[in-house]
Amino acid sequence: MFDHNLYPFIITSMVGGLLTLLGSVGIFISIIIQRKVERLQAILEEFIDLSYQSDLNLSGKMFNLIEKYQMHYILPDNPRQIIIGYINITIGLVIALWLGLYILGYESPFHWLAILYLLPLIVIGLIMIWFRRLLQYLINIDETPLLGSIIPAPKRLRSISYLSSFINVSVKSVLKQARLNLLFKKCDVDNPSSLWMVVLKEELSFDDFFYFLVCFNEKNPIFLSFGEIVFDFPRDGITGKPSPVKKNVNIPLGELNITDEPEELQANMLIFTKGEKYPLNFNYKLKKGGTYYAPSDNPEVSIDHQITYSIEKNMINIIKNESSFPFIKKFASLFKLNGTRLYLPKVEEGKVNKDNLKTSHELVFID
Amino acid sequence: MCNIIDFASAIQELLSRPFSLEKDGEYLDLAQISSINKELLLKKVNIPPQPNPIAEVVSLVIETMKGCHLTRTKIGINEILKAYLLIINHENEKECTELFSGYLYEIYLYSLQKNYPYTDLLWNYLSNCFHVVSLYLVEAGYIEGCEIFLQQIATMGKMAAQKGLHTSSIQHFLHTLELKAQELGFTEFAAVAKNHRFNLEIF
Repeated sequence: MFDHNLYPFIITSMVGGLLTLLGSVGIFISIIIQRKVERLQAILEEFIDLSYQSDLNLSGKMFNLIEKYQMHYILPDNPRQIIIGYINITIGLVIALWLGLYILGYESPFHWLAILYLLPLIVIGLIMIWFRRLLQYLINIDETPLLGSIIPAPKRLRSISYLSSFINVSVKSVLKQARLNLLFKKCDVDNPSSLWMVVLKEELSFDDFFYFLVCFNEKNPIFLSFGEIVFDFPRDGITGKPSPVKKNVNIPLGELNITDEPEELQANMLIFTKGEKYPLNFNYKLKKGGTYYAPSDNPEVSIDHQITYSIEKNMINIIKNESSFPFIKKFASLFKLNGTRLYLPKVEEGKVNKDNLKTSHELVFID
Repeated sequence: MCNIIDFASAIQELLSRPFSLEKDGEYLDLAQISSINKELLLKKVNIPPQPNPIAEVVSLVIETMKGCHLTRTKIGINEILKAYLLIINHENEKECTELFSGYLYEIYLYSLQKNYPYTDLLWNYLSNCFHVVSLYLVEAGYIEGCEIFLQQIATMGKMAAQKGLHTSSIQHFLHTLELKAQELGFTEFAAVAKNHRFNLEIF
């Protein structure tokens, strides 16, 4: 048999060994994570540097960078489970051995002071669980608050609001790479009196901004639409790859009736983002070409200093408006950041009030 | 080189000369034949190549690029494209487009040189020209020719995107072309245009 005086010490040294192992695993993980974080930050910096060069075409590069970022961001599932499994077993074993030592050293009869002796075990148990959670956070960066604020998730890189409020990039040059464009398309090509669908095209899917669009036929407004643009791209159904960013995204904004089908239409769009106080103004000239209207050249983009806004409680609050933009005042109370897109189809008939607003339910599509 | 008008008329004169799209002729081109013997070599060794006014014009245009005369370069490209649209017909659309788009590609490649200062200006000009030319080709029903032309534009566009030149006008025109082709009932061609649009910035 074992020596009763020696045995508890053997167990204690086992526990010590296990704890040392656990600590070294922690160090090992944090070294890996540190390298990963460095890599991610380097990509992030490259991305930010890119966004300052607005006169170059960077859509392709931005797309590749976001994809690359995602590759470094996600840790494969298998090693994660192995590490967590190891930590669970070690912590479980250590606590069990400690409990065993307690039982070994227990002498009856029971006195309530004995519970006080258990306190260190409870505290250590809690600390161990906390340690486990810390390591878990390090491994799953994407779902946890610990690193999420330091290292943004890949999909945050497509968010204009994130880029403009946390990183000081120029919204204008980023949106220039997104190439926002308008397209009016006949819903039913064979029907001459068919409605026209208004589509906002983005060549690189930047999102998380509020838009306010008015279309004109020779200075008479014919269509109004506003809302927040947020994408939620699911994993690719076939390959299972997550897609933080996509190309050639089309956002249906609504439908309208163009009565005499003029050769040219104009459109103005304001873009509100979280980190700014002046909206961007996009000015489009749309030319008719058969069953569609498309811009004849690149839109004029400027920062509209006549409008000042702030964002409070997920609402756009227009502080000052000296522009000639119609309808802003009327609908300003509906400028909510809730992911919906509203439109007013019958502006020409003078039905300009909140009751005539419709919601565009059509899904974003790639084309 | 004298003034711009003289330059333009020199080019127009060259382009108005007759030329044939036939590759063979009598001239012995080693790349065009599969085998050779001494007899054939001796027989054809002194035959000069066929006159090729378009190649002459292209070399003139490249000369203007060496001297950085952007206006002349633009005129040259413009004349070449106009000549192309005049020459193309339903019999020769394939050969004709291959020839002309090949020459345009040469000019474009020269413009990518590091010491050429007007790369993006010329690229914008080319993009604008391509828009009109391809729309004309589709409307006139030269689908095969237009497909070859688009292929060449897509190659150029891809290189441009890699160099950081703007391709929004190419994207936009490919989309317009797609819609136009759909409207005219060329669905297969519309799909080709769409595919080019999706692949333009993938590298």
